[in-house]
Amino acid sequence: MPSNKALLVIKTIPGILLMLAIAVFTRGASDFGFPQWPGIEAYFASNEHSQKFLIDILHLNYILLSIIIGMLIRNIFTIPAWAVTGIKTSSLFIKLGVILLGSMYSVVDVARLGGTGIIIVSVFVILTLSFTLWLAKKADMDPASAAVLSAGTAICGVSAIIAAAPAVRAKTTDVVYSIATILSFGVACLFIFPLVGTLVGLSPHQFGVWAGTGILNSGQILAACLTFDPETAHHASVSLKTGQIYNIIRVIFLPFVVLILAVFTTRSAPLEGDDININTSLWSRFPVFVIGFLVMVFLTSFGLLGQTSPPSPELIFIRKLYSWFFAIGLAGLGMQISFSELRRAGGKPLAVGTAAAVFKAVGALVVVMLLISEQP
Amino acid sequence: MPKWWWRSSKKERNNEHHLMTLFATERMEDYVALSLALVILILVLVLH
Repeated sequence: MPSNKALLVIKTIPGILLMLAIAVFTRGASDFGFPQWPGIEAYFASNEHSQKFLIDILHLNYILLSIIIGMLIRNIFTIPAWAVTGIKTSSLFIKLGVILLGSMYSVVDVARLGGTGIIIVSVFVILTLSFTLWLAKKADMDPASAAVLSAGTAICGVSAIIAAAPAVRAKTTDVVYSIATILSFGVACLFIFPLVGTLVGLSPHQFGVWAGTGILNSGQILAACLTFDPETAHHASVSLKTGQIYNIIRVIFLPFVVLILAVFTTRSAPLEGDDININTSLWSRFPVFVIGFLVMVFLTSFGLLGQTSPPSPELIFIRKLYSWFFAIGLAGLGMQISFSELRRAGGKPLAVGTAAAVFKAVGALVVVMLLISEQP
Repeated sequence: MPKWWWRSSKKERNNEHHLMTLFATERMEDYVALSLALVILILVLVLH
């Protein structure tokens, strides 16, 4: 009913404003015409010692601060009832940001980054999938539980688990354990990846390849890339540009992996009436928002959004818009991280999932250091 | 701080596991994101 939908849209506003308030608190309000509030990150940068330790080493920039504030609100105060509906839109903001991010690339960029990306991502998807399934079999996990966990470690974390769960007939407990395992590792990645990247001296492009391959969850790839190489009005984040291409390639693998896992579980534990319709499964799992990203790449490449160098006012506006969408979405992502839910991770899924995720992260770091050049 | 101001949701108090998305399916969320992006694009092109 239209009136119900209108009411639902209105109910999202307080939560969206809360996420925006966190983003403004950390990022500053100069884009809204209030240069008097430069953001909490600017205060850290104003002191030499805090700049060196908190920003240069720990990369405690507005992205990480927004997530930390969100996590504190969720876990210390709990989310206020009036904000719940709005905070549920955080993944929508991230997807909207990813679509608009397409305006940063040309077709040539996508072909250049994507060429290497397809090879690296497909090797890691196959290796991680096989490794997780093998380890789960050794640990005597049931096939459905192993399948959802391997989807989470091989593809894009939580979305992959949700997409794979009905296809492999996973139980709710399998899904909860797998999500908790993937999110626990993802939270650790937010802090560890930028720190390790700095210590081993990765360039922004190399970091983007590592994060896009090694981190399990799409939102956390975004956050880690922006933490390592923050985007400003005068600097487009190279890590984000590279990391997001790798992430999108990985997301595109999702329907194929879900299908493989469905075949694997059907063969491991067949039920009466099991049959898999390839066409329906592939299309029904395809992440259609990726099409929007590709359309933006084409529009930018063919000059429909004005010149790219120097960027037209249209492109500058879109770039500002998506960085705010990311800031809002990631503040919401922080509020989605519940420590009590993370504590539910345990036993075999935690051990197998962590081993697979560490295997992937370390393997990706070695490949990046050996094979990926500093510049794209 | 008055209680009504920061009253947690019922689900939160029960500490149930729940995935926080407004949409029934991932596909629905994708379509809404695509529609909003289209609206933004049209507005940007018209306003500039």
